[in-house]
Amino acid sequence: MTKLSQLLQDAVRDQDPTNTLDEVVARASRRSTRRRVGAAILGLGLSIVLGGAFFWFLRAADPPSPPSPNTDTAPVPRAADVRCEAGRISLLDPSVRPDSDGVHFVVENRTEELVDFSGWGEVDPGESIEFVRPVAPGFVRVSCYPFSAPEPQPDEEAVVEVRDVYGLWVPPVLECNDSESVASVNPDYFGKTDGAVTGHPPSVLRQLVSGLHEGDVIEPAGYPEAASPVVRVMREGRSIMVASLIQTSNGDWLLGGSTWCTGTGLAFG
Amino acid sequence: MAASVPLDVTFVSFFETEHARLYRAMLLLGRGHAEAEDLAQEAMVRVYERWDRVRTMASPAGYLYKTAFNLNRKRSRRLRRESELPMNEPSVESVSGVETRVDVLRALQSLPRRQREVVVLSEYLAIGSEEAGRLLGIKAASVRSRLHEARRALQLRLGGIP
Repeated sequence: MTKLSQLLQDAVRDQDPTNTLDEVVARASRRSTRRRVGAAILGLGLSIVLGGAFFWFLRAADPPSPPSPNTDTAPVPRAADVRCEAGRISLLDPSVRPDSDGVHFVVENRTEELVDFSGWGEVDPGESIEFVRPVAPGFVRVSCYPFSAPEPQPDEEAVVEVRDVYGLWVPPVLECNDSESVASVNPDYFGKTDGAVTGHPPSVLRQLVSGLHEGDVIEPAGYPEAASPVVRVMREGRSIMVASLIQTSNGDWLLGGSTWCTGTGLAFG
Repeated sequence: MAASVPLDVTFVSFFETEHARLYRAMLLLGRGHAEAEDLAQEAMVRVYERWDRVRTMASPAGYLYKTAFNLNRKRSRRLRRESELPMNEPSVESVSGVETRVDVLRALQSLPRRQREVVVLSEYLAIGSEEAGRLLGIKAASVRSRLHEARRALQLRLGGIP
């Protein structure tokens, strides 16, 4: 830490916000309510104005067809092909299947400026980059984020369905009891794990964690060959700790981050 | 049995990790207590509203700080229009106690906003120049250049910063 960093830390060290999480949620809730009311009023107004004009057209038209069923027999591509174009994003296929190392996104930047793809990385104009991310099965929103704009606009976002057709995904989620809360550590903020830790990911976590019980099982989670492996600790059938690991160029492992249920006795060090 | 919690636990954890840091970063950007609280809360609200997609980003914290810094810029522009006060002369009412702390904040607030932003991102939040550039919409080289200028200016005011 530089002297300037230390001075800045010291200058605000004792300053704590008084706002709570509940107040954040309440503010979001109030805003959501105002938006719903506004949208309802706008929608009602538009219905009245436009309803009459389209009445005959709607009556004459055939009823809309139901969407095509998303059958498992349809081929699902191994990579999602994404194109970032000026002011919009397009997908070659709305679904993708994960590979053993994660979900692949091939992103082509057809704009004339640098774009950030979903906060995962940058793509230069005219370039194409393949991103591999440990995205959970389900729906994921992706965006092209031009640096000239403060936030992605609606047309610059798209939804991709990740369909785990081979059952590769093991959910890295915590299952804490009602009496437990969640603790977390992010070594980016608190300093990385010292010392050489070797082995395969579950044994690495076993070396880093104290408080394990005899019957605890440490097993891989997420995708089996992810670049940053994820492991979880199972106790009596529930997941009580999830941790991500990072392998250094010399083969040692660092703790990437972890969350766990308090009251389980688990701790690092 | 898994707990049935009203909030996404990942957001709760994110809030606990980032909220105070964000608030302090807003103080360092030159905001008083009340405004720093409001900016930090508003940025958190925006992240909360989009958490289903922010949580899948490589750096949810990066999104939070980008949002907060953008809000701060917008507010600075509005205040400048309304009051025609120089943007880099915010109050230091937020800090009490040790004199050196006041000196540090005063020195920081004497910097142009652009330099102050890179100091807070790079030196307080320890964000690398590549990511800081991404958050501010500038090149990493510009971050390093602004940081160099800022450190030189701070050295003149405070002395002895390596």
